[in-house]
Amino acid sequence: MAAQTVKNALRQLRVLRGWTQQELGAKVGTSRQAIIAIENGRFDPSLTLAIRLSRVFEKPIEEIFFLDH
Amino acid sequence: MAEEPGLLADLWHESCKSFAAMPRWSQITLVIGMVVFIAAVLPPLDRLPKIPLATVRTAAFLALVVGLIATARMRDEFFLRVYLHACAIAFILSSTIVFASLAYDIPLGRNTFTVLDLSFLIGFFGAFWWLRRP
Repeated sequence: MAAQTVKNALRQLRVLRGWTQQELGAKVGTSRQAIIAIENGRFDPSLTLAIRLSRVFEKPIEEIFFLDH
Repeated sequence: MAEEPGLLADLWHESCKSFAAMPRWSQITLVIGMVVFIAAVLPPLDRLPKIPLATVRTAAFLALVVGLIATARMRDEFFLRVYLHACAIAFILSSTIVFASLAYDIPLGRNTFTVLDLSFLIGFFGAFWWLRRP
């Protein structure tokens, strides 16, 4: 089975709401750098942070993070 | 929409936030470690006898390291990853340099310490830059 990577729609969702990376970071209790790195796919967030993002965007986690086929 | 205030400004800002979020004991440990470490390489402390001076320097260095670990624990996932990458890079880089120095029979002596710390610094800045680049 080929390795699958996790993609995310964080940037699109954030831009749609007109939030800056700093603002989103503050809403979920993380740094702006963490938001940049997640948006750019440098690392996947922990489950705790993913749940916080899901709550802030009011979307299920799988609509924010999904496997790249 | 990448909001880019610059690498060093970012690092300074986040380090200050991290320091402010630390428990009081670790803030005090870090500051004492830093002040004593610097003082122990300058006069008049540097004129102490060898053993007491070495003890003061070692204790100050340990306090500095404990304080730095506390700052890492305070920060979010991004910084934990920066520290993790920095440790991995430092291990690979410094062990290669130390091994090469043995293989080529070049005695590093006290410079081994510089190699270790410089490798960590390079790893830290490198990881910070790589993880946040657009």
